[in-house]
Amino acid sequence: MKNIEDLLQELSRQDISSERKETTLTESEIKRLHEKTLQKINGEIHTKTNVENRKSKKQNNITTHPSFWRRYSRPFAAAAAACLVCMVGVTAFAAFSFDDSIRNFFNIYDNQSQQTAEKLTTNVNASDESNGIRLDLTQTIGDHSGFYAVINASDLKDVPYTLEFGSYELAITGKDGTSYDYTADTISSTSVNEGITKFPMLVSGINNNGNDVDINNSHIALSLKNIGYHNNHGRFVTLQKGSWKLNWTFQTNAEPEQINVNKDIRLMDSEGHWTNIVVSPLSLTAHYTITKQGKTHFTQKEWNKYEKSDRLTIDFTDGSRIDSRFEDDVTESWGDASNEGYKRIGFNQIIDAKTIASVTFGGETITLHQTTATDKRIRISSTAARCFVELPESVAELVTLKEKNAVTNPDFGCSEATATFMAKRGGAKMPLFTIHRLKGSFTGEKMEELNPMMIYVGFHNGYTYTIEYGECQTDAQLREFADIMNKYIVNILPFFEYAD
Amino acid sequence: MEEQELLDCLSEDVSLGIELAIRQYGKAVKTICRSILSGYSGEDIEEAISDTFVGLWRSREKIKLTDGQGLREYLYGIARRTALNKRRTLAKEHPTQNIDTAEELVSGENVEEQIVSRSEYEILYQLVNSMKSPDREIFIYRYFYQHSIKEIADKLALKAKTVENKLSRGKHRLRQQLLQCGVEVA
Repeated sequence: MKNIEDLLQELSRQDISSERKETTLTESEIKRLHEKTLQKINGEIHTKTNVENRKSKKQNNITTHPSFWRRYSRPFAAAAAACLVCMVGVTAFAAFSFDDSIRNFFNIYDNQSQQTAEKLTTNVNASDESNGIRLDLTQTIGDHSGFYAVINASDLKDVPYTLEFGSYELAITGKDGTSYDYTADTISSTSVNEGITKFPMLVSGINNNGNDVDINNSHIALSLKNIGYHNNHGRFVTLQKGSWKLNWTFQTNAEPEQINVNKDIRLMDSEGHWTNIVVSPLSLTAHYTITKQGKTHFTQKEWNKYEKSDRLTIDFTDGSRIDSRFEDDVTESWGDASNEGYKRIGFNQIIDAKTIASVTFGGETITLHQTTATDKRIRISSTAARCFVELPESVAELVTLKEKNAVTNPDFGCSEATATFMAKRGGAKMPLFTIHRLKGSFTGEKMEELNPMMIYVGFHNGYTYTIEYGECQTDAQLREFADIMNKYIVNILPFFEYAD
Repeated sequence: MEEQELLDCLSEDVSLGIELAIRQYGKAVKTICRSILSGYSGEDIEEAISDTFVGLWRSREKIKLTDGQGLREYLYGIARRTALNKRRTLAKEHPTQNIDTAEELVSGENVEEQIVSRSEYEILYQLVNSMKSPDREIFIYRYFYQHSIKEIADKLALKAKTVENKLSRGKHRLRQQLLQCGVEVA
């Protein structure tokens, strides 16, 4: 900690003079700041009604998630909503131009992905208008288990907030008239372009009382009410009143591949039989039956013992891995001796089944294709943070582990141990990532508030584990480490394990 | 306008209060936010400035003005926290994109610490710049131009002892103000 004399002495050497000379505040800036600030404040003042709406939403068991993580949700209760104009959508397989939101969400940037995605994408014509605001649902992309759709809102006032709907209800009805359960997140705006505000939505976890279903040709009815934003207190502020209904039939040309497995597995302390996997470019599902039911509740110690068997992991031919522990879109149903259970990972990019090297579930692995990765994984363990990470050999040889024990984390105000994976190459060095082992329990939400740079990893033996990724800040760091960061480090969590 | 009047105005006429606060402190808040969010877009910086004044409005009834702990210090503290949080959020969203500041930063050093440190100096400069005369001139001559106490006394027609006293009291007050702004200083 510096003293005031040191700070003052250093002040004249700081390069802040250029900043000072440039800093002005024009009348138009003042006006803009004034309007923006007042808009936010007014939003916080006029919220009472919306707080009630939100409470009621929670009571109806409509859960929203900061990420796309989901298990089951109950079906939304049907509710009547006023609708000025409503057209039932018709669908047609597209001659393509992808909606940018779909392209970005599934990382459709190469020809192969584009061709595969085209089969999964359907042009839809579902529109509705209320109070001068028109909503158009023009494209959906999905397979037999879930879908992603984009709603375009025309003529919404451009405001500096992430817009949401005050409430929405979704009904998915199968071909036989059965109403399906599902999970969907808050529908929020992602971009505004030429007067069109885009609201993407991801719907997954679709099931019929816990049983996996095929949603192709299901009827979708989406009712939306009021557009606004959530202020810093979590209160919904309505900016545009309205009520819209969008109806369409979901269609996909996805051709999922079923691969028989037939392996006995252990799932937690239960015993089961892994029957098959179903792979589509957007998801992988492992189906199984439970042959001997174990406990339904576990102590922390038991959980640590069995948890690994509950994971669904997919290893790809290039050496990368997806692990259900760290995926946003995971759905499962436990099943029993007579009902098939399943566990599914939804991909966030178009996957070619030929790139899947192996799938591991219930402690058993099936090999599908030969791996092309030549870089074997090297385990680097931290004594202080009691964990280890497996890095590709080419990365591991650049890394030195810097550990700290029993230090205070200033953001969380608790004791922690850290393991920083420092890399050095070509005259540049940088922390690739740091694992924090924080004493106590902190939720992902709390983490976002106290240190948004940290990402929640898990809670283990009384400690919360988080990861903080390094940032390439200099040209030298970018030159030496950008590829490593993008190729290996951003996907490092599946190779993380607790050591105790 | 007196600081307490401005606080009262924020409660009684929020639109006027915010406008006055922006006019009075907007430039300094912009400087702090820009210093911390260097390399990010003007929109992000403007968002942080706006959030700072929303923060001021939220705290209006909790702020207790005392000698050496005025509205300015609260506001600079809010600006610093808001901009640092914004920076962390933006960096998380775009972990490898914040390269505009690359030339200013030394390879391998802790960037977060550098940003925090730069924001501290920015706040210190703002506090010195807002001192009343002749204290402001004394501090600028002393710490920007490295003049001796005698030289400052001669320039400002003050006794050397007076300059010394004003420096001493000024430093004590600056320390209090920095602490109020959330800057750790011994």
